[in-house]
Amino acid sequence: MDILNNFGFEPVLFAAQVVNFLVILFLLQKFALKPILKLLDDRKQTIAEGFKNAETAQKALTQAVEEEKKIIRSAQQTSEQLIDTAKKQAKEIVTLARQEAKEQVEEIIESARAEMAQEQKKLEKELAVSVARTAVNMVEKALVGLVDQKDQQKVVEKFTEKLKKQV
Amino acid sequence: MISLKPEVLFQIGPVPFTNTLLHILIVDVLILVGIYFLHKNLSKIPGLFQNMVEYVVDGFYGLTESISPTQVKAIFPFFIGFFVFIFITNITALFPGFGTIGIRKGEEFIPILRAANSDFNVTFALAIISAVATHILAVRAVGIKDYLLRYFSLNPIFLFVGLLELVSELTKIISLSFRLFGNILAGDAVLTTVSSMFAFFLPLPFMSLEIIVALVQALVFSILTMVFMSILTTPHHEPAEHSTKGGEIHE
Repeated sequence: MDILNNFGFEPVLFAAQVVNFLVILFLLQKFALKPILKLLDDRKQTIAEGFKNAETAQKALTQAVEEEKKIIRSAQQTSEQLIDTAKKQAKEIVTLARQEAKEQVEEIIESARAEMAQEQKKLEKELAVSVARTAVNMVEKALVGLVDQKDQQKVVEKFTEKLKKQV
Repeated sequence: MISLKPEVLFQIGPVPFTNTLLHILIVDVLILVGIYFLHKNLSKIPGLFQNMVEYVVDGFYGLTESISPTQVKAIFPFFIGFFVFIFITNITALFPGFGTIGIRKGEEFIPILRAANSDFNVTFALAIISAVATHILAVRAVGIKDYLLRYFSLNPIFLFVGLLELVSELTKIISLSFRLFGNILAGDAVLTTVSSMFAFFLPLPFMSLEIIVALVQALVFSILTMVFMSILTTPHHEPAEHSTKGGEIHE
């Protein structure tokens, strides 16, 4: 203890220093170290979470881009199919329309022809009737003075009958 | 001439109020102001001061964690506590006024302020706290049985090793306290001597040397404490399990 005393060891001062340091250490631990370590830990967690979120977001973004590409690709395919179908349908419609039109035209022509033939027949009949009348008139006029009225009537009637039969 | 003992400024009853005690109180106030300022302005986005403190705390915590991963939470406060206390004490002792402003009592000059770590009471107190805390942590970490097995064994060889360990525990206290005490006292003596030879410019190189000493001594004390704690809180038989059969004999 003498050596210690030579170096200035004083029990009271020694005790004071011990208490002093312990108090400072306690305060340092409670009000500085703990909060700072907690803060650092929180910050680490926040950063880690941030990185995780960023990774998740990146993954989601990549997925979204891929999905977008898929959707665009499928939409293109669908649209191409639709266009193809539409073209085919349009062709079919045009062909059908053409066919229908052709058929209609043919029908119209046919009916026109039939009508024309009917008309022709009618006209021929009328012409025949009028020719016959003219012929009867001419016969009547030619027989005037050649035969008596009775014969004349008989000839005309016979002639008319013959003509009727012929027409 | 610098005396080994601190000078008594006045007496408060039986307690002598020394110039080193005054320095310690100033250091206490500085640390408390720092703690208050830090605690008050603690935010998630750090300012300059908080950033500096965080840098130091994070660095010291990482160092402690790398040496003693399991006991980091128990060891770290002592590690950084010793460092902060000793470093601030050492560095403030280099401020102008220390050892120069004083009272003259006849032939004797009594400086009002003197480097606290040049007082053996301070360094011895720190060393004792370090040692006691180390042993308390050791008992808590490994249990009383394993703790005692380090020093006492039925095997005569290991009993002798245990006794050596006991002696080494004593030398730890002596080395910790006298290293810090001697370095700071010697630095004080050098600065006083050089300043008394030529007060201008000549002390500057010694002053810068003392700044390094202030940092190094704080680091040496705190790192040694941390290492001692780390060694004693590691279970005694652990290395033997995967090396030799020595551990089994020892047990």
